[in-house]
Amino acid sequence: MPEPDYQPGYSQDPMTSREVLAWFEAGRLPSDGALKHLQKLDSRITDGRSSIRAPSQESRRKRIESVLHELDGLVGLHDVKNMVHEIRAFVDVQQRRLELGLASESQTLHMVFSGAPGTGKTTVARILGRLFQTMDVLPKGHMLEVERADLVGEYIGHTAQKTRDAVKRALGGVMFVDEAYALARGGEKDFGKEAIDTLVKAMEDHRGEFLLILAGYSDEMAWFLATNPGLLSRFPLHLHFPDYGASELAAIARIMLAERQYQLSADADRQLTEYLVRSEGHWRVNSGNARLVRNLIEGAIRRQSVRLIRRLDMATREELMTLTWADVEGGL
Amino acid sequence: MEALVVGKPNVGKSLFVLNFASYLGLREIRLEAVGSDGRVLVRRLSLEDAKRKLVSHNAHKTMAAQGIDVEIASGRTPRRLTLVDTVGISEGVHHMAEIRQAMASTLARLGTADIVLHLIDSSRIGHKTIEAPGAVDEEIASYARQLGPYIILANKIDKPGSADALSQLREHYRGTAVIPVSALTRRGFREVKSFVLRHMG
Repeated sequence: MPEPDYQPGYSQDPMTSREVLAWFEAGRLPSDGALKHLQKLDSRITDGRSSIRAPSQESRRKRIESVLHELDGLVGLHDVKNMVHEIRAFVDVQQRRLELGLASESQTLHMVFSGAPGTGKTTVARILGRLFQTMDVLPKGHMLEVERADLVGEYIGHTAQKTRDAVKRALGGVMFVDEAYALARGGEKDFGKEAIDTLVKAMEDHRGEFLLILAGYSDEMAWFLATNPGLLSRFPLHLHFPDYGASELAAIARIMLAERQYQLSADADRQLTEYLVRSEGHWRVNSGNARLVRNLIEGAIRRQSVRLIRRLDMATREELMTLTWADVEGGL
Repeated sequence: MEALVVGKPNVGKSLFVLNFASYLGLREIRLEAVGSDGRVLVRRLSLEDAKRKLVSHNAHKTMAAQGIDVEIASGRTPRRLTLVDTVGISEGVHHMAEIRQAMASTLARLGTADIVLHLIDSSRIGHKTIEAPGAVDEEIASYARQLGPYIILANKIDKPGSADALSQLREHYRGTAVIPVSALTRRGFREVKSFVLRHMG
């Protein structure tokens, strides 16, 4: 093995990460030395060292802003967004009060989400998990999505065990119980009640260690909360996810198309908006909202493919991207 | 979301990435390799072909970071993960400039990865071969654990005598999760998947 061209003349340390890599490539640094220098120069770490707790106030604020920005990027949901901003302010103020030795409200932030399918409940829950993680309320901020079948067991005693296991996996993050009203649907003898009791107990035992979100259709959730008097008071926050309006659905359609690298022709865009406005308020109950738009778009994409397949070799890039009104109309 | 698979040469990074991707449900591999000159090459390979092409018994088979996109089904919305296979980092100063350059690209990616999966050859503790754990592993561990989600994967756990090695590694890297895996027999992949899922937004 030839001697590496190591030059003892350079005694000072590299000043930037780029320099470390250049020196390493030139054979002037061994692998472990390069890693050591990179670690010393990494801004993500040195930032953290300057304050007592991990990230500095400035970078923490920036990360919170970026999560909130993602939330604000969602179409519609004004009340939900306002509520989340309120919660953020509340948590921040309480933390500051605690630092200054003032009495601070205990932070039970368990929530009930009610709304039709496809109105963004899961998406908002996921963002909340991340928000609370950056705000140091939850250590991990992951989201565990469960439904009745994941909590309710098959024989006596099984349910409590199963529910406790689920809670254990959710600790440090968000537990999202989808279609939570199903837990109370079975009547007196049903094991679902046991799951509710175990959840309520876990909320007391692991106070502040996880965030429980119960989600479901509006009417069913109202009935569910009424079945168990203790439940309502344990969930201080109720977020209602309204059905999307016509212009919001059109905006969602445009975003979804852009994600898939498609676009509506000018005519199709106008007609679709008109159609959505016309049928606003006449949708079936729980017709799907954003999901309805997604199905519409996916159908249109399929019909566009059928239209183009016969002359695929001649199709231009523009044509491959554009959906006409005929494509969209076929799915209505 | 980008998960960087790092470690010394010949510890099994490439085989791990391919088998883990197939465990996550990938049938065909679309390889995106960024050469040291910055060009991006795209190739389509079946999993078997990919293994034949990318995995070898000799060190320094992988000469450029290679990303594989996988969609993980979790809840209702699938989430996208890029598994990045990297160039193994050997001890000391490597005598070939080409390999040093390739290793530098790996070091640079450490700074931007979201998740770091660090492979260690658990069958070679105390050996003198190129894949044996050593100072480089110490430095990767002390650096990466401060960056974000980070675990050590004790690979080649299917080899005899590795149970001992596992407890040694756990003792040595206390404070970091050490998961025993075998890139060959796919042992431990379930735990790795749940770790990755937990740290995806």
